[in-house]
Amino acid sequence: MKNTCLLIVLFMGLSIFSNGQDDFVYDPDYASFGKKEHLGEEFYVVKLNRKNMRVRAKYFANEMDGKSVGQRFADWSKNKKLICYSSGAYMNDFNASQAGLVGLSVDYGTVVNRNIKAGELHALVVVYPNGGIDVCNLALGTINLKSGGAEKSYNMNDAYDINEFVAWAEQEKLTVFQTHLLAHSDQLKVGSNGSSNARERRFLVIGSKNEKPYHYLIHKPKAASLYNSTRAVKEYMNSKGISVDAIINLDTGAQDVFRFYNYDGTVSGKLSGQLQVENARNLIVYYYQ
Amino acid sequence: MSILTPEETQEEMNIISDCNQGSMAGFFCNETGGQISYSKGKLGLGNAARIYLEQLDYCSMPTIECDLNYLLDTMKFPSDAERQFFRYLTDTLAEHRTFKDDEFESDLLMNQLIFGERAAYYATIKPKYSLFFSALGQFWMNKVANHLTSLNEIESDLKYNLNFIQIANRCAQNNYYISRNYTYLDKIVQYAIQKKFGYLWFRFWNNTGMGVKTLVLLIIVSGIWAYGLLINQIVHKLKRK
Repeated sequence: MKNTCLLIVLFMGLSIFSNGQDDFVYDPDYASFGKKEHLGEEFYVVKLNRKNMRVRAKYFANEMDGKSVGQRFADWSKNKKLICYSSGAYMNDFNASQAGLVGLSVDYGTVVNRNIKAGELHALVVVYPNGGIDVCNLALGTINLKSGGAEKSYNMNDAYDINEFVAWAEQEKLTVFQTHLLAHSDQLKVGSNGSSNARERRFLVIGSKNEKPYHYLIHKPKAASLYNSTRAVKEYMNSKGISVDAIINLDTGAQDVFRFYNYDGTVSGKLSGQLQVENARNLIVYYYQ
Repeated sequence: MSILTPEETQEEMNIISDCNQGSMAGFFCNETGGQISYSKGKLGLGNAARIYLEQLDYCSMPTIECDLNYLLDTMKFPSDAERQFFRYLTDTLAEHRTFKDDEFESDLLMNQLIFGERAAYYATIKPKYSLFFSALGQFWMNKVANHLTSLNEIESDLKYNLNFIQIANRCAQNNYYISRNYTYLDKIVQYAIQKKFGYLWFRFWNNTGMGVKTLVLLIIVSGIWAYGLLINQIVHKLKRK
C-alpha cells in the first residue's frame, strides 16, 4: 500500500513536471528580463545567454519583395520561439514608411544602403545567417571577420576593400548595419564633450563573464546624454563582473519598438516600445533554437 | 582649368612626347621605365597626374578602361599599377576637384555623382574590371552622399533646396541614402503631421524640466483665460442687445 502511494505520487509529480516543461517556449536559463537598479540609475535589462548558440539573432534591415519589415517579421516568426525584439539602426527621416537607412546596410545578402559613414558610425554590426553577431570598430580602419571557417580582413578606408567586403556580404548572405559605437574592448568610445541631448536610451551590449558570452538589451528610461547613459550602463555591467566587448546604440526615436516574450510565450508587460512592430523600419530579433 | 604655369605645362608635355606613347605612358613613365612613380609638383600633386586628369574625358568609361588595359599590359607590377591608377581617379581627383565644406556646389556634385554612376554601371557590363569600376563608383557616390549630409548639418534648410533634393534622390536611387538634419521645430511639425501627439507629449513630459513645463502650462492657462474673457465679452454684448 505504501509503495503504491509512493508510485502514484511519483507519477503525478512526473506528469506535472513534464507538463510544465511542455509549456516553456524557451529555457528560462537562456533569457531573462527585469528591472535593475545601480547607483540610483534604473535599467530594464534583457539578459541573453549565448552558450551553445541556443539564443540567436536575426536582423531585418529593410522592406523586401513588397513586404514591410513588420510583415516580414510576422511571416518569419510564425514558427519561431521569440525572446525579444527591438528597433535597430537609425532612420534618415521621421516618417518610417518613407525613411531610408543611415549607414551601410545589407539584409541577408541584399544591399539596402551602400553609403558607408565611416567617420561617424563606428560600429559595423555583422549578423551571420546562423544567428551570430560581430561588432567591428571602423575607427581602427581594418576589420577582421570570420565566415564559413575563412578569416577575412578589410581596410574600410579603402574603396576597393569596401567593395570587396560588400561583395562578400552579398555572397555569404550576411546582414550588416551601422550605428554608434559607444564602447569597445571595455573602453568608452563616446566623449563627454559630445551631444548633451537628453533622452531615454537603448543599447545592445555584447560581453562575457567567466569567458561565457552574453548579450544584453538594456533600456535606460531616464533621459540622459549619450555619454552619461553609456557610462552608467558600463558601470552597471562591470559591477556584475561582465567584461564589455561592445556597446552599440539602438534607435529609440521615430521607431521606438520593443517587446520581450516570457519563457511561456506571453508578452511581458514590464516594458514595451512606443510603437508597434508594424511601424518598425528595421528590427533586431533574438530567438531560441 | 589648368593650375600649371605655361612653362610647367610645356615641361610635362615634353616628358609625355619623349615617351612617345601618348598621355597615358607619359603619366606613368619615369627614367627607369615600367615602374609606377610620379613626381610631386609644386602643389604636392604629381604634375603628370594632373595633366592626365585634366585631359581625361570623364564621360567616357571606355577611355579609362583603355588606359587601364595599357597599364596592366605594360607595367611590371600590374596589381600595383591598378591600385595606383585607382588612387589617381579617386584621392588625387578629389584633391583636384575639392568639395567646399560650406558651399553647396550643385553642378560639381551632380557631375561627380554622374561619374560615379557611370563607373558603377560600367562595372556591370565589364566583368574583367568589375571590381575596379564598382569601387570607383562606390568612392564617388559615397563621397557625394556624405558631403550632402555634412552640408545639411551645417545648413538645416538646405534639405528643402530643389537641387539638393534632386541630387539626394538620385543618390537614393543608387542606394546611397543621405541623412537629413532636422531642427527641433522640424521634428515637432513632422510628428504633428503624422498625428503622433502621444509621442510628442511623451517626449515633452520626459525630456523637459520643471521650468519649461511650468512655462508651457502658464501659456496654456493664459490662452484659455484670454479665450474665456473674449467669450464672456461677446456673451455680455449679446445680452445687452
